[in-house]
Amino acid sequence: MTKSRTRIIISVIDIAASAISLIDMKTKNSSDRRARALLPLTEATYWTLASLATPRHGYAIMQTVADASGGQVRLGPGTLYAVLAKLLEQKLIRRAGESMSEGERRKEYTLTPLGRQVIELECRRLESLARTGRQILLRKAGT
Amino acid sequence: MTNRNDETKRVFRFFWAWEDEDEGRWLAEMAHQGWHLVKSGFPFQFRRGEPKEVRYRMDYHAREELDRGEYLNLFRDAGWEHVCKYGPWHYFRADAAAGVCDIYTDVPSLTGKYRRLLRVLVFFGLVNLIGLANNLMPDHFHTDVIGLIGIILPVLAILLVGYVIIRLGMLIARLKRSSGIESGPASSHH
Repeated sequence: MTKSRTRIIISVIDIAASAISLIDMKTKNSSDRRARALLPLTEATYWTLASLATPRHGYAIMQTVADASGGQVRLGPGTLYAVLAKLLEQKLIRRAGESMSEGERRKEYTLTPLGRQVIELECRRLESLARTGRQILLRKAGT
Repeated sequence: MTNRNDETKRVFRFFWAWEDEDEGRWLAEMAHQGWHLVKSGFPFQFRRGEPKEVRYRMDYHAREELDRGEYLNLFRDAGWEHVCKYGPWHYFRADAAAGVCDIYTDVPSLTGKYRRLLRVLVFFGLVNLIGLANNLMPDHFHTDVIGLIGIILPVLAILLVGYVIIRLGMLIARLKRSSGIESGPASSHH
């Protein structure tokens, strides 16, 4: 009995969640579809995009990500280079001039409007995933 | 003691492209014995110095996606010294005690290094395959020595390239399965 009830509740949540995302999708324009096609992001891509909400050079990205994640996530230079090259190619980020760091020039990068859209969509997707997951787990514990 | 620092030696040792981790371990062992890499290639060149615990990593870029300065700055800022370049292979070195994180910290970018090499090899293999097919055409086919070379050479190249492609493919599959790379700071240096 409780098992089937749980199952019904889960499927109701599923339907609601997919209905919401369907409505969500219908209201969006084509650039939104383009942004959506790039999801989900790898963790390294996600953190790099998030940190480029303000212009930063490569090492500043590594430091920002390490700080923001409480040391949980670290980006190696090889990984960051690959991510930056790909994001530039996909036009999710662009070059934003140079800054001086410890007496040396460093090239900076920042989000393009499309890049901002992608990271915002990904945040929303992850939030909705986490919310739905938590709800399912809570219901299960409650029965 | 002072002129010991000028002492160099050459070592002939061959590593396949999928063995770059073994190569790194061997270079670290050489550094442990006081021989520090100066130049890679065939032979490797080392300079005598104080024995040191270091890590070596190799990166592969046949094409420079961003400019060289940006690439090298990224590695240097992260604590990796650029030792030398051998063709498309870049050799980096870091102090083992410095707690510098690995150059690749996720599986997609780590396998990406080998996939870039794979693409070049597949292209090279295809060129040889086309050449071989051309040499086997009835109107091009010769039974003399030159005709024979025109068949043997591309066949050897295809076999060699095919072997490397298979081994690289196996390595990529293994990396994807195990994801055994240092992603966080806590995993190795504390």
